[in-house]
Amino acid sequence: MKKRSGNLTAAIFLTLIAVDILNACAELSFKKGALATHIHHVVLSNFFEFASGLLSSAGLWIGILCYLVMFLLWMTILSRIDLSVAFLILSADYLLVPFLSIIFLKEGVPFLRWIGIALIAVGIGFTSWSAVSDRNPQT
Amino acid sequence: MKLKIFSLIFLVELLDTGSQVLFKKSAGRLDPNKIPGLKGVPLFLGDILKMPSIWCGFLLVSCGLLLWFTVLAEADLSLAFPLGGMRYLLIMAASNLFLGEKISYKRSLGALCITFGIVCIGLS
Repeated sequence: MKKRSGNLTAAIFLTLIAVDILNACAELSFKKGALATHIHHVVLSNFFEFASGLLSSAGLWIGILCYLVMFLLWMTILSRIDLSVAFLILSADYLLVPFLSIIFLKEGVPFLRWIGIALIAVGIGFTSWSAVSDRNPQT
Repeated sequence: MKLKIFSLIFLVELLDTGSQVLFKKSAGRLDPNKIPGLKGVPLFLGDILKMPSIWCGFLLVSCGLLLWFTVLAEADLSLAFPLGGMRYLLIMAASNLFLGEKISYKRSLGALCITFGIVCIGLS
């Protein structure tokens, strides 16, 4: 029998946002790690050079640490709510980066990107609504 | 070149979706009421690491991560990141097919809005 998942609470929602922040930190660290190898085109012949460059970069290890904490938080979340709800709300990371760029880097945001940001926010709204109103089905 | 990057990212997303399904299956066996504070984290981690499905999930994540590094080395994060939007549709399909989750019209609408939103960000 399928185990019923619980409902979305403010605490779970905030934990999901924490996972998003850790994910952004990990992505940036991995990008720094990849750049530190100074290899821009990976093929079979330079793969081991690329791998050893990555293993000796701090970016890789900081990224892995972020992933470990993220994993523990993620398993806690998944033990409580549906994967389809948790994963859709994780898309809030697409909102975090533009807002951080606006606030800290004073970057301009093109009109189309504002539409994208608004659509994602609406999508998260619909998903959260579904997670609250579809709970306790009568089956 | 773009087709190669697109195919690689699609494969990364498929591996990621597979790992998430395995993680959810494993998390379903955890008791949500037993989830500890900071002191109980090692015990909690021990319970998780005893499950074979978690290790299969790790294997898929590792393959995906290795592929992701080759994508990052060749493509800008600004191109690779928005293309990852396809994962939301893959996760919806997999949650319904493999986990039996009910995907209501509100949740489908949420997934579509998010995917179109990511496409808009990618095009901007």
